Amino acid sequence: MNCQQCQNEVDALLDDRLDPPAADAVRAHVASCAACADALRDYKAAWAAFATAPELEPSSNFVARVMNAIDVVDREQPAIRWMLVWPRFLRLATAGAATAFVVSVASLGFLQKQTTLAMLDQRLHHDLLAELPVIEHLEMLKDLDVIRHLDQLSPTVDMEPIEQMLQEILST
Amino acid sequence: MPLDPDAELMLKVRRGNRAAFETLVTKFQKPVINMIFQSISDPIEAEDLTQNVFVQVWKTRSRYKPTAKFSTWLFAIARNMCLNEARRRARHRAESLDQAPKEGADGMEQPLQVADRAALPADDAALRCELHRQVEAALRMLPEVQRTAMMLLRHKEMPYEDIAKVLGCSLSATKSIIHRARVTLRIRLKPYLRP
Ligand SMILES: [Zn+2]
Repeated sequence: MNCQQCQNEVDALLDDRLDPPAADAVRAHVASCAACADALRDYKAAWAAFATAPELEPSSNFVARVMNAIDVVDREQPAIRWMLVWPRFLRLATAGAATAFVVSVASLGFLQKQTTLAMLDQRLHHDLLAELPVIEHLEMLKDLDVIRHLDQLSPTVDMEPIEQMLQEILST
Repeated sequence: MPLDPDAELMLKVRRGNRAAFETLVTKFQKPVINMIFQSISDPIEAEDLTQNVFVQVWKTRSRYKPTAKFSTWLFAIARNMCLNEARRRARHRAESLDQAPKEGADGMEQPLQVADRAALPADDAALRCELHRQVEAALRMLPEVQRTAMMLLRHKEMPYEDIAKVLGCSLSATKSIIHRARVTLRIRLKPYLRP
């Protein structure tokens, strides 16, 4: 084992996720390499400091507050049920509108970027991402190929945050 | 394969069992609030957001499928809410900046996630030793994805595979995220580890 291989295994070793032969190989290298031994000692100490740092305690009435909050939710349920019985065409239309919205927001970003190339793209990301939560709860997006449409813009707009967010939406 | 006990409870929650829900809230309140606190910095807001996470779990309980571990599902919801809150704050901040530009002495924008020391009880803050303050500061300097990975590692001793699911990344990307976070923590904390 060389130093690079040893460094690559440090996390697994610290998290106790190495099988015994691999852990032995790391320990054998560390025993004969001062640099890796030094690094491993620092990693261990940093992890110990992190793992033992004080934690925030929830208020003593936190659980009761949550239980009260779900009471309120349950009283509002009839409205949600009404939405769930929307006809399929209406749901698809809503999803279509949401898709058009996402694509147009992304297109807007594209145009902005074209005309203000010198301007920072950080701001653009914020503007785009700030609008996206609007579509958060539309499960119907699973049926629509939104990401493919957005991909067409990807050479000029950094799609990573948008794609990541869509993945998050689809995975919740 | 047997279900994990939390998934068993969540299946009861899916049928509307409030006692099972209360058990899950009791069990996970602390890891969730601490994960959120590392992003939000304000303990009161972190608690409010944690409450919203559990309310969201209750609202969407019918969507839970026991193919996903409950903790993975819960932390994914918590992370999603944190990101939305960070975006809301970023937008709010951008709007405030438009109205009254505020810059640091060096002309750079202030970091988004400044620890709100004033929000912590004074003696609580005073009790934290220097090392723990540095840990908190170092964590807050990490990119969100690295910080979340570290909090998940700490609280749940989650398998890397489950952390990857919460982060929405591949396993190899997750390992790399964890490694980068560890390297940064090691470098930042080194002066305080061995004086
Ligand atoms: Zn070495």
